[in-house]
Amino acid sequence: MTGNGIVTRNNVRVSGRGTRPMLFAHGFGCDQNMWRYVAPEFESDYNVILFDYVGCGKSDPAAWDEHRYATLDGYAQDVLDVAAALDLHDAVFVGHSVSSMIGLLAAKRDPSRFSDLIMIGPSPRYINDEGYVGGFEREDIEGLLALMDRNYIGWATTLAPVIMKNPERPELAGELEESFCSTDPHKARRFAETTFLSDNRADLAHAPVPSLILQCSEDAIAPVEVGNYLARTLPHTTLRVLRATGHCPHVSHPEETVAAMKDYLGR
Amino acid sequence: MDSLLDSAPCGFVAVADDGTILEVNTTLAALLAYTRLDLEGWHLQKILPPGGRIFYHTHVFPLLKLQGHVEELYVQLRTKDGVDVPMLMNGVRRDRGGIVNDCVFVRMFQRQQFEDQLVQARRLAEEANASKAAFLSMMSHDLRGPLTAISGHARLLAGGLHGPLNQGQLDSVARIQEAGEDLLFMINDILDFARLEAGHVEVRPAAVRVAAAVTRAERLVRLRLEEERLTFSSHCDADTAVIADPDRLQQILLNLLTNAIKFTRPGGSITVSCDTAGDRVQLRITDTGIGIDASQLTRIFDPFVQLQADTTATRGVGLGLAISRDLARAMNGELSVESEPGAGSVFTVVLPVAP
Repeated sequence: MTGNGIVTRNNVRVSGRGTRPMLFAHGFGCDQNMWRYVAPEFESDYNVILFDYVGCGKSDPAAWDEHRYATLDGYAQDVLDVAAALDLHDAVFVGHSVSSMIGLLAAKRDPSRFSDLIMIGPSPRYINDEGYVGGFEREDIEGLLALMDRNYIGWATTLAPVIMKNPERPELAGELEESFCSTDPHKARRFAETTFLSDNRADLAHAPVPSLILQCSEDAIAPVEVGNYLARTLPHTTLRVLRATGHCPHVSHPEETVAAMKDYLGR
Repeated sequence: MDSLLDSAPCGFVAVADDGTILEVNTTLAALLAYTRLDLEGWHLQKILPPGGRIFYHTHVFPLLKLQGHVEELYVQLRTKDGVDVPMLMNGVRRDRGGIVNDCVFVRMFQRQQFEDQLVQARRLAEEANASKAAFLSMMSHDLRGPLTAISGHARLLAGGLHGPLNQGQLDSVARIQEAGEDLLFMINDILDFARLEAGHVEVRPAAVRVAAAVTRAERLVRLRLEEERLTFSSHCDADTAVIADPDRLQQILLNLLTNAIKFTRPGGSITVSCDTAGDRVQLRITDTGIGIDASQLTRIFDPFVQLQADTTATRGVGLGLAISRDLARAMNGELSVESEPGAGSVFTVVLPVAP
């Protein structure tokens, strides 16, 4: 596929006045809109790149491949495709949640593309294992899938295209009008399965570039134990525990998130 | 909290952005076997089952924050005794002396059971459909082998390979060959349909001149047009071209022409016309046939639906129109029909115009 093809396929958006690339990769749940409060803060110094994974947001629905996106490697290939299409080198990769591991897989396959990995709420495995606390049991993930199945009944009216109304940020209305969190139920379910049943612990020791772990102080999806495990296992990593709680500090506490990222990048 | 809200017949919770429960009404607290004081100050996730916590952090909270509201979400809240209660949730984010997310919960035991049945039925239907497509594909493949042998040997017999045949034998062999062709036609339809259902049909788009494609298709049905004493005319500009797979367009045209012949009485007419509107070309196949009843119109593109012809035995398994529409769609086009009983039918194929 040509570079232009990838830009359309992954709904790639480029902005910013800097030359160093910063590639933002959303996690499971919504799409690149999740970076709305954080990405603009880097536009003065970076070449900011946003995209949607195939199966999410405004990506090309026809590009979906059941087999390819059954593993995180398929999503990592999306990252590498975007990096190749824009000829990125030494990019700062910013991944939320599952995208932290997707970024790691991409960096392992082509380290020249990335200088650093910034991981927001990362987890190499969500399900508990002997001697490892992931935070969930397999039946918990089944519970999530059942919840998703049922919410797709009303998908068209709830999570589908809607008009954004945000009392705090009225200037955003319209921008997100068509696509916020809208997704194909089947593809979203597959992304959930691929995400929450994955195990990337064996990949950690081979991280080819340095990383920053942004760990929320109370994160129900990636608990502090997971952050500590990553800090012990990833080479050349920095663990930063945020005051922010929850799993989406870039949405709930953008100022603290941006400050922690800038601290790390300016070190 | 005023007493009306506190005792309203639905649950109410006000949650801060960090998930802290700021207020809860007595109805919800009692439903979950807690008191209001127990719950206020807790994180909302303490009353969510683990899967629900993921859903909250990946969907509910981002939607509330970025979109300002959520509607008709299905969630479960966990009671003090560990029982998960199905709830329908609406939430709105607003500023009332600080930003809060006001959420309302309505218990939905019966609706959950009903939805369970629906979800289960849908899954079963999807599975059944998938196995049906696989079965059709396998069966069609398996049938083609022996059929090829039957047709081949009938041809050898007719050709006199094993000695000359008398007239009665020749007639019988000719019937075997005819029946074999009919059977092959049906099997190919089933195989095509199974492939389309499974998304395995490859379409190779190219610029195709419509007038030439219509002429080719007409040539193949000319004999039958003459047999039925039907007038055929085509009004397509020689230069009008569409982006389509030439073979697949041919298949659609043949299907539509064969149908038109089948449902038009002797002496009638079949007309093909082409119009370009914007970036689409409309190809109309109009007949003066028996037409289609309004009650049937919505069903005729469904697989295995056979319209009743007033002529003799109909050929096919009722897949022609289903296949034609799927093919048109696979080529970024559409196939539709308008009809009036007694006056005839118009089938319209819309395809992208070739630049």
